[in-house]
Amino acid sequence: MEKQEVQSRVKKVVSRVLKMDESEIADEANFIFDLGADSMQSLELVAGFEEEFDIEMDQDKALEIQSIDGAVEFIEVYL
Amino acid sequence: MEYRKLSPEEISGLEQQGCTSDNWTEIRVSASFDISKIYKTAFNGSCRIGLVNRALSGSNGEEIKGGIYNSVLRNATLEDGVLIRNVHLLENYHVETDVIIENVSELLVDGESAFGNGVEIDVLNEGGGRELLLFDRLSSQLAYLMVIYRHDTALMKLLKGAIEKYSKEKRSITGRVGSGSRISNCNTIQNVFIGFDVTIKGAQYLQNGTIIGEKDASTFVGSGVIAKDFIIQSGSVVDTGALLEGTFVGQGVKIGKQFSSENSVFFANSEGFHSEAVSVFGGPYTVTHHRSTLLIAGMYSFFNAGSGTNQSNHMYKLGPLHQGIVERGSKTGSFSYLLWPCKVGPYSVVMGKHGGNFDTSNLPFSYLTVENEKTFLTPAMNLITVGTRRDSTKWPNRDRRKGTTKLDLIHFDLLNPFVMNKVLNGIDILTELYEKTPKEREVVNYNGVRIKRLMLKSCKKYYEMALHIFIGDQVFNKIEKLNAPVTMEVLKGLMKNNNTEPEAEWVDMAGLVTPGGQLNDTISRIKTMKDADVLKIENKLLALFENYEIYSWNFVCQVMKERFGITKESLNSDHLEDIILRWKENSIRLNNMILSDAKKEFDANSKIGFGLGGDDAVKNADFEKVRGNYNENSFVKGLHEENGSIETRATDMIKKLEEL
Repeated sequence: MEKQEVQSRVKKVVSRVLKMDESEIADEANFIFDLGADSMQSLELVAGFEEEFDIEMDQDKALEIQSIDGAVEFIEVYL
Repeated sequence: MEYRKLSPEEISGLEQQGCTSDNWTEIRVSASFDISKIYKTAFNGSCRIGLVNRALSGSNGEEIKGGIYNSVLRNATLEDGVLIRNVHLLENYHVETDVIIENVSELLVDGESAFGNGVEIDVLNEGGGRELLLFDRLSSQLAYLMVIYRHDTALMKLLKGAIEKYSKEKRSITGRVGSGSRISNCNTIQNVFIGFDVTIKGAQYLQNGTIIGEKDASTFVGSGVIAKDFIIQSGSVVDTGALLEGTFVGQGVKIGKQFSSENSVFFANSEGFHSEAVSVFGGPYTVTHHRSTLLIAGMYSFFNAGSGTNQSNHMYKLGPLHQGIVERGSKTGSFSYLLWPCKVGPYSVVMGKHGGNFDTSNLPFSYLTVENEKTFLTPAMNLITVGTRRDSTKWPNRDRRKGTTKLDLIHFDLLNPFVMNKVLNGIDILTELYEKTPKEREVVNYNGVRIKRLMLKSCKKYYEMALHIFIGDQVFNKIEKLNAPVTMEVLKGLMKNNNTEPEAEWVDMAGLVTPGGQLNDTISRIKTMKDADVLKIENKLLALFENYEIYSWNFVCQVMKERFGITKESLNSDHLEDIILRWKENSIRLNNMILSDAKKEFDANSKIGFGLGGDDAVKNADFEKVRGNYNENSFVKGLHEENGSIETRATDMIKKLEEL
């Protein structure tokens, strides 16, 4: 899968979970500081990525991801 | 003690020292009685006076002489070494040796009293129906039986009979002030039994109660306290304007700062400040510290109430009959609200205003939040937070019960069969909900709450993580405790069920975790007791407490069989290696998730408000000076060390198993 597609689908999940427009989500946006995700939404994002890409991620490592870019990089390893 | 009449010379001497009596012949004294240090005191009715002027220790450890000054005594017995000064009325009391009573308006018993024993209070259900009899040995378990098992009329009759019998034995027309006690600067103390090493200083009004103290667990009742119909157990502090009515204060409890309580019980190590409690069953470690917090008609334990926490039992038409159960280890966030009836599962966090009734008992470690006025639940979320881990280590370390007898029987394990049974139920519930919910749906409904569909699968994994840790912990403990050399035969032998059947239901009896069936058997045994008394019932409950390890292991064997297909017959070293590896993997993973959560305490958001007037460098420096840094934090270091130890233990155990 192309990096761009991964990024687009990551943004789609983030947009759905955090209830914001995809256009508001910058590539380097930080989930907490820029997008305002709380602890529960962080879990929901991880679950959302797993479902979107049909993968099972290491939960502890997945929760350390801070940004859109970081998520893309992390998910690519599983694809 | 033998008492004699006063000699004419002694009477004359006392009168010269300003003393009077309505009948000197009714005043008896000990053989070695000495009139020195007795001045301006009226001895009325029948009094017995020892060698009061013996030395005793003052509040700062200094030696002071006993004596009786400026006081009125009526029907009082004073043992040797007692200082009574400026007591306007001391009536119908037996004062033991080494006691100081000074500047007290009244300390009296006015008729036969049971001193708060046998007082009936409406606990848990404000409208009544769960009446609890207070007495000075009440444990959280006995209270649990009385309050929860109302449907068992035979048990109720027996318990009520035993407590009434106990209370009857406490009835007397004479009160007691136990050795080592100090009472000063108080207004009225009426019909109050005062045990050993009790200090009452500045209390406003105490009526119909018992205050128990022990040498290593002295009890303090302080300024402005008003208490009526109460029991205060050893090692407790009730201070600073507390207002108690129909209240039991258990061992090592702290109450103060104008806390008010009515028809409530607070068991071991609970804390109540500023706030209000009505019809509360406060199991061990029930904590409410903040103003505007009302706990009402609920049962709690290992509980922390945030500021402004409120519950309501008033959406009724036939009286305030609703009640709430908040299972162990839960918290309510600031200004959260629960509408009873509700049942909150163990180790859950409640945030926001919940206007609906729900039962989340089988989804432990949940976050309960509100979105668009609807209750949302995130299962297992609180399992991976730093707070839960901190709390679970904090509770046993903060056990303030230092006396010889610990009345409440408390199991502290974070992951225990009561909780793990719910974790297993949680796994099944989430699995079923996930399987039957179409992907298009964003939320699912469950027992009055909504769960985001996305969370069903991942939260189930968190529960499974807890399961693998619990099973591994138990297996480790069992093998490490073996005295015999580890062989497969020995290990298979461990899989025995200790002659008891595994249990489907577990109960948390306000601190005591036990299988439901075993509790029912115990209740049956209690009901068939001849001449049941409080001590015999306590012993039955103690047996349940002490068998916890056996019952827990049976539970583990049952889970291994049902969830992993491992039986005594099929057990092999591969099974055990698998259990150990899963334990290692999940324990480290959970610790890492908790570490991630802890890291947030040191992130940029946490630094907001630090370094005022400076740049980022000042902000970081200020934060670090006040809060320290992540890597040096003792909790963080502890978890890193634990991860290292998990690796080592697992490696050693696997090596041992490979040698089988």
